[in-house]
Amino acid sequence: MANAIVVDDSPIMRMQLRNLLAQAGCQVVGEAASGDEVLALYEKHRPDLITLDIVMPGKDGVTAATELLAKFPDANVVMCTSLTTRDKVLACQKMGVSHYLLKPFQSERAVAVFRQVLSRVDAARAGTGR
Amino acid sequence: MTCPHCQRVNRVDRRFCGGCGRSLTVTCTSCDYVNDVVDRFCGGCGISTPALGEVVQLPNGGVPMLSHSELETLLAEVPMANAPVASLPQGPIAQDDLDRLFGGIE
Repeated sequence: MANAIVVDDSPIMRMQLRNLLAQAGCQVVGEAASGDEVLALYEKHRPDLITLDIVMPGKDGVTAATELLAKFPDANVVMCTSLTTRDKVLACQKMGVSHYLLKPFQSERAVAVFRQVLSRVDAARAGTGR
Repeated sequence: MTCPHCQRVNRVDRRFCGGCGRSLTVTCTSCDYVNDVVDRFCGGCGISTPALGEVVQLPNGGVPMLSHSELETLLAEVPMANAPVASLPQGPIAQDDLDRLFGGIE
Protein backbone atom coordinates (compact mmCIF):
# COMPACT_ATOMS: atom_id res chain seq x y z
CA MET A 1 0.00 0.00 0.00
CA ALA A 2 1.23 3.46 -0.86
CA ASN A 3 2.08 5.76 2.01
CA ALA A 4 2.12 9.48 2.61
CA ILE A 5 3.09 12.25 4.99
CA VAL A 6 0.66 15.07 5.74
CA VAL A 7 1.99 18.46 6.82
CA ASP A 8 -0.65 20.99 7.87
CA ASP A 9 -1.06 23.08 11.00
CA SER A 10 -4.78 22.30 11.21
CA PRO A 11 -5.65 18.99 12.90
CA ILE A 12 -9.02 19.00 11.16
CA MET A 13 -7.37 19.46 7.78
CA ARG A 14 -4.92 16.65 8.54
CA MET A 15 -7.86 14.40 9.34
CA GLN A 16 -9.59 15.34 6.09
CA LEU A 17 -6.41 14.66 4.14
CA ARG A 18 -6.03 11.28 5.86
CA ASN A 19 -9.53 10.39 4.68
CA LEU A 20 -8.95 11.61 1.12
CA LEU A 21 -5.64 9.79 0.88
CA ALA A 22 -7.26 6.62 2.20
CA GLN A 23 -9.82 6.88 -0.60
CA ALA A 24 -6.90 7.05 -3.02
CA GLY A 25 -5.43 3.89 -1.50
CA CYS A 26 -2.75 5.62 0.48
CA GLN A 27 -1.94 5.29 4.17
CA VAL A 28 -0.66 8.26 6.17
CA VAL A 29 2.47 7.20 8.05
CA GLY A 30 3.52 10.58 9.43
CA GLU A 31 2.09 13.99 10.21
CA ALA A 32 3.50 17.38 11.13
CA ALA A 33 2.12 20.83 11.85
CA SER A 34 5.09 22.81 10.52
CA GLY A 35 7.52 22.81 7.62
CA ASP A 36 10.34 22.54 10.15
CA GLU A 37 9.76 18.80 10.46
CA VAL A 38 9.48 17.93 6.78
CA LEU A 39 13.03 16.82 6.03
CA ALA A 40 13.33 14.65 9.13
CA LEU A 41 9.94 13.05 8.55
CA TYR A 42 10.70 12.42 4.89
CA GLU A 43 14.07 10.86 5.65
CA LYS A 44 12.46 8.63 8.25
CA HIS A 45 9.53 7.36 6.17
CA ARG A 46 10.56 7.96 2.52
CA PRO A 47 6.86 8.19 1.58
CA ASP A 48 5.37 7.86 -1.89
CA LEU A 49 3.67 11.24 -1.50
CA ILE A 50 3.79 14.25 0.80
CA THR A 51 1.12 16.93 1.16
CA LEU A 52 2.27 20.39 2.24
CA ASP A 53 0.24 23.32 3.47
CA ILE A 54 1.90 26.66 2.71
CA VAL A 55 0.96 29.02 5.52
CA MET A 56 2.11 27.35 8.73
CA PRO A 57 3.89 28.36 11.91
CA GLY A 58 7.64 28.11 11.53
CA LYS A 59 8.91 27.14 8.10
CA ASP A 60 6.31 27.70 5.35
CA GLY A 61 5.38 24.99 2.86
CA VAL A 62 7.09 26.53 -0.16
CA THR A 63 10.40 26.79 1.67
CA ALA A 64 9.99 23.25 2.96
CA ALA A 65 9.22 21.98 -0.54
CA THR A 66 12.25 23.77 -1.96
CA GLU A 67 14.55 22.18 0.59
CA LEU A 68 12.93 18.77 0.22
CA LEU A 69 13.12 18.69 -3.57
CA ALA A 70 16.71 19.95 -3.52
CA LYS A 71 17.67 16.97 -1.37
CA PHE A 72 15.17 14.45 -2.76
CA PRO A 73 14.36 15.39 -6.38
CA ASP A 74 12.12 12.35 -6.74
CA ALA A 75 9.85 13.38 -3.86
CA ASN A 76 6.19 13.66 -4.89
CA VAL A 77 4.89 16.83 -3.31
CA VAL A 78 1.26 17.98 -3.47
CA MET A 79 0.68 21.47 -2.12
CA CYS A 80 -2.63 21.70 -0.22
CA THR A 81 -3.42 25.30 0.50
CA SER A 82 -5.91 28.11 0.13
CA LEU A 83 -3.15 30.39 -1.13
CA THR A 84 -3.48 31.35 -4.81
CA THR A 85 -0.66 33.86 -5.02
CA ARG A 86 0.62 33.67 -8.58
CA ASP A 87 4.33 33.70 -7.77
CA LYS A 88 3.93 30.98 -5.15
CA VAL A 89 2.06 28.77 -7.61
CA LEU A 90 4.64 29.28 -10.34
CA ALA A 91 7.51 28.73 -7.89
CA CYS A 92 5.97 25.41 -6.92
CA GLN A 93 5.55 24.39 -10.55
CA LYS A 94 9.11 25.39 -11.37
CA MET A 95 10.68 23.54 -8.46
CA GLY A 96 8.98 20.28 -9.39
CA VAL A 97 5.93 20.05 -7.15
CA SER A 98 3.62 17.33 -8.50
CA HIS A 99 0.31 19.14 -8.02
CA TYR A 100 -1.36 22.04 -6.26
CA LEU A 101 -4.73 21.56 -4.57
CA LEU A 102 -6.86 24.43 -3.36
CA LYS A 103 -8.76 24.42 -0.08
CA PRO A 104 -11.58 23.89 0.51
CA PHE A 105 -10.98 20.62 -1.31
CA GLN A 106 -13.24 19.25 -3.97
CA SER A 107 -13.08 15.73 -2.59
CA GLU A 108 -13.38 13.82 -5.86
CA ARG A 109 -10.78 15.97 -7.52
CA ALA A 110 -8.37 15.70 -4.61
CA VAL A 111 -8.67 11.92 -4.64
CA ALA A 112 -8.13 11.92 -8.42
CA VAL A 113 -4.98 14.02 -8.03
CA PHE A 114 -3.60 11.74 -5.32
CA ARG A 115 -4.35 8.67 -7.46
CA GLN A 116 -2.65 10.24 -10.45
CA VAL A 117 0.49 11.16 -8.53
CA LEU A 118 0.66 7.66 -7.06
CA SER A 119 0.16 6.09 -10.50
CA ARG A 120 3.12 8.09 -11.76
CA VAL A 121 5.16 6.73 -8.86
CA ASP A 122 4.17 3.22 -9.88
CA ALA A 123 4.96 3.91 -13.53
CA ALA A 124 8.36 5.35 -12.67
CA ARG A 125 9.18 2.33 -10.54
CA ALA A 126 8.08 -0.04 -13.28
CA GLY A 127 10.19 1.83 -15.80
CA THR A 128 13.37 1.89 -13.77
CA GLY A 129 13.03 -1.33 -11.83
CA ARG A 130 13.22 0.63 -8.58
CA MET B 1 22.32 6.28 -11.13
CA THR B 2 22.66 3.22 -13.35
CA CYS B 3 23.37 4.07 -16.98
CA PRO B 4 20.56 2.62 -19.14
CA HIS B 5 23.04 2.02 -21.95
CA CYS B 6 26.02 0.30 -20.31
CA GLN B 7 24.65 -0.40 -16.80
CA ARG B 8 27.58 1.34 -15.10
CA VAL B 9 26.59 2.70 -11.69
CA ASN B 10 27.43 6.40 -11.62
CA ARG B 11 27.51 8.94 -8.84
CA VAL B 12 24.19 10.79 -8.64
CA ASP B 13 25.79 14.14 -9.49
CA ARG B 14 27.24 12.96 -12.81
CA ARG B 15 25.74 14.41 -15.98
CA PHE B 16 27.47 11.94 -18.27
CA CYS B 17 28.16 8.26 -17.79
CA GLY B 18 31.68 7.39 -16.71
CA GLY B 19 31.40 4.10 -18.60
CA CYS B 20 30.14 5.06 -22.04
CA GLY B 21 30.04 8.86 -22.05
CA ARG B 22 26.35 9.19 -22.80
CA SER B 23 24.25 11.82 -21.09
CA LEU B 24 22.52 10.80 -17.88
CA THR B 25 20.15 13.77 -17.90
CA VAL B 26 17.47 15.16 -20.16
CA THR B 27 16.28 18.76 -19.93
CA CYS B 28 12.52 19.08 -20.36
CA THR B 29 11.74 21.23 -23.36
CA SER B 30 8.54 22.46 -21.71
CA CYS B 31 9.83 23.62 -18.33
CA ASP B 32 13.64 23.20 -18.39
CA TYR B 33 13.59 20.76 -15.48
CA VAL B 34 16.60 18.45 -15.58
CA ASN B 35 15.42 14.83 -15.49
CA ASP B 36 17.29 11.57 -15.25
CA VAL B 37 17.54 10.01 -18.70
CA VAL B 38 15.50 7.02 -17.49
CA ASP B 39 12.59 9.15 -16.24
CA ARG B 40 9.27 8.53 -17.94
CA PHE B 41 7.63 11.71 -16.71
CA CYS B 42 9.17 15.13 -16.31
CA GLY B 43 9.79 15.95 -12.65
CA GLY B 44 9.12 19.61 -13.32
CA CYS B 45 5.82 19.60 -15.21
CA GLY B 46 4.75 15.97 -15.25
CA ILE B 47 4.61 15.76 -19.00
CA SER B 48 5.08 12.26 -20.37
CA THR B 49 8.51 11.74 -21.86
CA PRO B 50 8.32 8.28 -23.40
CA ALA B 51 11.05 8.97 -25.90
CA LEU B 52 13.58 10.27 -23.43
CA GLY B 53 14.35 7.03 -21.65
CA GLU B 54 14.90 4.93 -24.72
CA VAL B 55 18.21 4.07 -26.28
CA VAL B 56 18.39 6.15 -29.42
CA GLN B 57 19.23 4.15 -32.53
CA LEU B 58 21.08 5.76 -35.42
CA PRO B 59 19.95 5.08 -39.00
CA ASN B 60 22.99 2.84 -39.47
CA GLY B 61 21.66 0.55 -36.75
CA GLY B 62 24.49 1.16 -34.36
CA VAL B 63 24.06 2.41 -30.86
CA PRO B 64 25.41 5.96 -30.95
CA MET B 65 27.85 7.65 -28.64
CA LEU B 66 25.80 10.83 -28.50
CA SER B 67 27.13 14.14 -27.40
CA HIS B 68 24.92 16.36 -25.29
CA SER B 69 24.19 18.67 -28.23
CA GLU B 70 23.37 15.74 -30.51
CA LEU B 71 20.97 14.39 -27.93
CA GLU B 72 19.26 17.76 -27.60
CA THR B 73 18.90 17.95 -31.38
CA LEU B 74 17.23 14.56 -31.42
CA LEU B 75 14.97 15.49 -28.54
CA ALA B 76 13.83 18.61 -30.36
CA GLU B 77 12.23 16.29 -32.90
CA VAL B 78 10.01 14.40 -30.45
CA PRO B 79 6.40 15.61 -30.05
CA MET B 80 7.03 16.79 -26.49
CA ALA B 81 9.19 19.61 -27.80
CA ASN B 82 6.19 21.26 -29.39
CA ALA B 83 3.83 20.70 -26.49
CA PRO B 84 2.01 23.86 -25.37
CA VAL B 85 3.23 25.29 -22.11
CA ALA B 86 0.39 25.75 -19.65
CA SER B 87 0.10 29.18 -18.11
CA LEU B 88 -1.95 30.85 -15.43
CA PRO B 89 -4.69 33.38 -16.15
CA GLN B 90 -4.16 36.98 -15.16
CA GLY B 91 -7.21 36.97 -12.90
CA PRO B 92 -8.12 34.77 -9.93
CA ILE B 93 -6.60 31.31 -10.03
CA ALA B 94 -9.01 28.36 -9.89
CA GLN B 95 -8.42 24.66 -9.41
CA ASP B 96 -8.97 24.07 -13.14
CA ASP B 97 -6.08 26.44 -13.90
CA LEU B 98 -3.85 24.63 -11.44
CA ASP B 99 -4.80 21.23 -12.88
CA ARG B 100 -3.76 22.42 -16.34
CA LEU B 101 -0.52 23.96 -15.05
CA PHE B 102 0.48 20.81 -13.19
CA GLY B 103 -0.26 18.44 -16.05
CA GLY B 104 -4.01 17.86 -15.87
CA ILE B 105 -6.01 15.07 -14.30
CA GLU B 106 -6.50 11.89 -16.29
